[in-house]
Amino acid sequence: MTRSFHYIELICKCPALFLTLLFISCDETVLDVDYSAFESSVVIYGFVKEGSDPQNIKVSRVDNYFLDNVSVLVDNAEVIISDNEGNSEILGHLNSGNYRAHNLQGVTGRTYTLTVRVDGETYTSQATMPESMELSRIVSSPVSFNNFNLELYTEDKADLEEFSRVRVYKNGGFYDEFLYSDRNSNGEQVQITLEGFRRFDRVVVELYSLSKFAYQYLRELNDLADDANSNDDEIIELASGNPPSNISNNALGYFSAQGFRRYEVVIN
Amino acid sequence: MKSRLVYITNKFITLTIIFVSVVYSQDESITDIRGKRIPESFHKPISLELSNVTFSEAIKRVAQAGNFHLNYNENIIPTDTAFSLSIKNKPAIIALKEILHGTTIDFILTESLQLVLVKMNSAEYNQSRRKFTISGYITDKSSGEALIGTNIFIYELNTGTTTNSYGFYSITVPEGLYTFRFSYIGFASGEYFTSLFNDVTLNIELSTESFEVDTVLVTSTFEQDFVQSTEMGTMHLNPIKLSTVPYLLGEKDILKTLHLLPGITFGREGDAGFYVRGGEFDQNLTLLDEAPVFSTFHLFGLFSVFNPDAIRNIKLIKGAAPPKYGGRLSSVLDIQMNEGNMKEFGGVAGIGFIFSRFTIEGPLVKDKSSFIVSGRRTYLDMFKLFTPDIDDLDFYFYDLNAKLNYKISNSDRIYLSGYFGNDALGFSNDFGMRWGNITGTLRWNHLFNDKLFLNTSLIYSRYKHKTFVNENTDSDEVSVVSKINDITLKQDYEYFYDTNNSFDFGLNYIYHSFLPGKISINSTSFMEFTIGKRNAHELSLYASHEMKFLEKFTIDYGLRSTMFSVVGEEDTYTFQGVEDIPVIDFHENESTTYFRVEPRISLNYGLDKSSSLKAGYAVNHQYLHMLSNAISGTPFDVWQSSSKRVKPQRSQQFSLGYFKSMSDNEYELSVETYYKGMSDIIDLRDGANLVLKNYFESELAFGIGWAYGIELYLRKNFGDITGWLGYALSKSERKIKEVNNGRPYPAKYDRTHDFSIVVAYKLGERWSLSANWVYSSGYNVTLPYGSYTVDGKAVDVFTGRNGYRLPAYHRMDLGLSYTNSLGGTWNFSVYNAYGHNNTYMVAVRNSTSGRSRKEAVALSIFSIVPSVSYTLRF
Repeated sequence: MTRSFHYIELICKCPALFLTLLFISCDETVLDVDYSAFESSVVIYGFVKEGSDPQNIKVSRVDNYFLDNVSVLVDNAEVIISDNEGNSEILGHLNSGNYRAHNLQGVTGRTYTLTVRVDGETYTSQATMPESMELSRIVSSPVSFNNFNLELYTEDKADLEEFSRVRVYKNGGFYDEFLYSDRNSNGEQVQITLEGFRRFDRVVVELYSLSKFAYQYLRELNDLADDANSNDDEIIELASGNPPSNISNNALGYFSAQGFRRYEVVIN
Repeated sequence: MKSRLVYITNKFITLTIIFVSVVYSQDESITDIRGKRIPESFHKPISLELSNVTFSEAIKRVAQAGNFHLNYNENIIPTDTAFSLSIKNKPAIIALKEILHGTTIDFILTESLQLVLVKMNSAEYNQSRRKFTISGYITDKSSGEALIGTNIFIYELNTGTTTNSYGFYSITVPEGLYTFRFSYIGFASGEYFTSLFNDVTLNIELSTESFEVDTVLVTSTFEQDFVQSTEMGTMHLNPIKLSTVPYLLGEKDILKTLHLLPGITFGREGDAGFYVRGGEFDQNLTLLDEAPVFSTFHLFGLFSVFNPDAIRNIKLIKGAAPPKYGGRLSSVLDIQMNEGNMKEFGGVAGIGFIFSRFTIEGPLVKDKSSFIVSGRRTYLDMFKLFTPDIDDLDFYFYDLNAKLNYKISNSDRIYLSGYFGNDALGFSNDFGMRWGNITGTLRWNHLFNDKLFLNTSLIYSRYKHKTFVNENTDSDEVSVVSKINDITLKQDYEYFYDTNNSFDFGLNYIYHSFLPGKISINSTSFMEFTIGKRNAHELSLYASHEMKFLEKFTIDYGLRSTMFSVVGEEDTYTFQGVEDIPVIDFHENESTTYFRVEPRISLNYGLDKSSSLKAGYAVNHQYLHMLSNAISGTPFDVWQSSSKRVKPQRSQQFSLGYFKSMSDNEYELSVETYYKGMSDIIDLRDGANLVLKNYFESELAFGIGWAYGIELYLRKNFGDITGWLGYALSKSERKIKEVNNGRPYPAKYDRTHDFSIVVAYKLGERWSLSANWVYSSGYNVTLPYGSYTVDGKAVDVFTGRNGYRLPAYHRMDLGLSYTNSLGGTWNFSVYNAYGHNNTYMVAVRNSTSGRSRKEAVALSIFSIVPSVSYTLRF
């Protein structure tokens, strides 16, 4: 059966196959690109995390890859995050476009406003931190000798749409990450199974709760990253586009506020 | 007074006099105003050269030459007019009739066979008279086929009509004696003098002119139609004349010819798709013998499915369409198939680089019933030549058109026509794709009386696409099918009330079934998924009234109202005989009904005899939408119905135009402007992907759009040099909240400038030369131009949707044709004669110069493409 699904995948790729066939008979000319059509947009990405950890925002510029010597570094930005309780902090420049706040607290339910000023332009965005999703249980279950699955359980809230991003670390190193939405469940217990653990592995599960729009942004980002990392010639599809940003003044990127839970288990 | 001789200028006489005399000798119905037949003795052929004589002198000389006497009172004869007249071998009574044209003078034949001239008070005379109807069918003398859009003009009333799509006409006028002219381009005009003192049925056969008048394919039907009708933005094409225009690989293509007209642009290089006035490809209603054709392409858009050998008449309406058409926003392309020769057997055989073609037609029962079968097929071997290392490559496509008609009586006629076409691509049984259309049309024409015409049609149309792996083998078999089916029942009534009023009304019911995807997997077990299945009922009623008023005005106003009701079925998942288990039920029991009303108005204001101003307004709605992912025209296009979430798309168009004909219709000029507002339009959201999605609607976004422009069109209809020049300046934009951050963006094929010139030059009897040149702004792409890193991932950055305009497109084609004494035509053509690399598509790839740098590459598929084809008519 898995083979059948490979065929389906093949069929999915048919349009690309035809375009490739057409390539064979094509004449190629390198396009004399009109650079004035491209904006050297500012890119802002970061989020306020629940708790008292330092908060990070990264500011950069788009790297126009038709040009040489493009500077993407923005180290002269003024970055401010404030919340609706009257707290505000100017973020200090850490290194290569990374800005950090040390005192700002991430509290669920609060609305955070990000203001970034670069070369006389101002970019703003707002985000409200959603309630944190929680795991009710984490269970390791043996599959075969010294091969374990890790089962994560969460109680779905019937009247609430929840979205999250799960990051998994194994023995101190990054192991896996995925996006979760409760779209397919309605009030029951949800089980998520992770594979490939051994006895005594030390596993950390980080659960970031997202707004629906932050979830969609990350999903589209993943799709785009898959495309960008392939080595094939990239053929432009009809509906290509940047994932919709929530930052004003046509900046790219996304600002969000994310609920946070961290769980640590040892496989046993 | 001189103006009434405008139509009998020397030129006109030389064109028609021979024919008129022939007609006349066969037609003995010439009468005086009371309907009394004029005897043979008045028909003596005369020849006269008169210059600068008085009216009275002119009639005297005619009577003298004709050897009869005229009685009249000198007081009724105008004295202030000077005549110049040239009559060659024409019956005397007709020469007299011509001199009297447009005056208030006519003749009466007395009991003693004396001609008496009398003066009539024309207003009084017209009012007191009864009205009678003349009607009939106009056909091609050589084949018996209907001539669609033939002009019928009555000199005395300075008015006329045209034949409908079955060659039928009907005109109701006060009793009297009238001169009718029947004209159709490429055919000798026919003139008939007829007395109307009772209803008359007059079936006319027109014969092809022995001398070639024009060699271009776009025909206008002379001044009455071009200047005086309310039609705007309407193009008539006649494929018989296609042969001299140069084409890609020598294959005539109807859809590609449309690209050469202003207001109609093309997609990519070589693409047979067309885009009308800033609309999308799926917004064109393409009808083949009234049946909608869902996929108009072969080979991913390089060829259209319409075999020119099987096509009789083509009409494209880009402005305000009459209310009998509906269901698409941009345009109506109404194509009629050949009917088959009623008189004798004949055919066409052709051979070219891509297709070989064969057509045979002939009578089943002479003058009662005929058939035509026309087919063409590609040489798959050609592709094997290019890819000799791939064995088992299946690659071909074919078209088959067939039509049968039977004349039961003068008032009843039946037509049965069908189209079958298929593309196939694959590698033996391992992998393959099949796609194509089937249409069938059964029509019944019925005349209730000479004023009320009815056509009833039952129509079937299907488009199906199938991709499979391992068909008919022992291995796992997987197939994906998508299809759309339409069954239509419609009735169109035409009521010809009088010369100033006619009515069209009717109803149209369509049963649509949509199956966007069915996936079957047959391995050790059997599974089947059905997704997005829906059925819909579409019922439309329409009525319109065309009226002439205040002498200079003609208005055609009407209304079309539609009910569209869609019902969704649950998605199913079948697992080897187990009951259907619904998996995702977005469509389950979904039921939505839409009511839409569409006013349509067009108005003509005659400035003078040869020029007019026209204005039009039309509302249209569209209930079916084609979704395509990468390139439209591939078999992966999916037809989607309107539903609860997808509202019918709507457009309203205002247009205004100036129309003029010059030098006796040798030249025609039109300037048209339009503004089109669209709402509830559909586009793909950013990042959408349609392949095997089980819920297409989540990939769509909805918003508004607008398009406006000005179009200039100048055409030369006859002479050794014929052709046209078209230019359009236009803009088309969309605004959708979820696309391009909600900012307006251009349509993909928004081409600011679009210019084309087409010239055909006739070199004697056998040779003709043609050339065309096209210049058009480049199309728009969403170009990735850089990358940025967020969240540790490097991703591409794109311009806004369709935010990068590619370099301009231009191309010249040349053609030469030679007709030999066997009736065969050699056609030599060069496509893209100066080898300009026009962009087919753009790809971005790693640059050879730097590791993280990239370059954009424009790919073009056709450089200079020479070709030869040979066509034999027998």
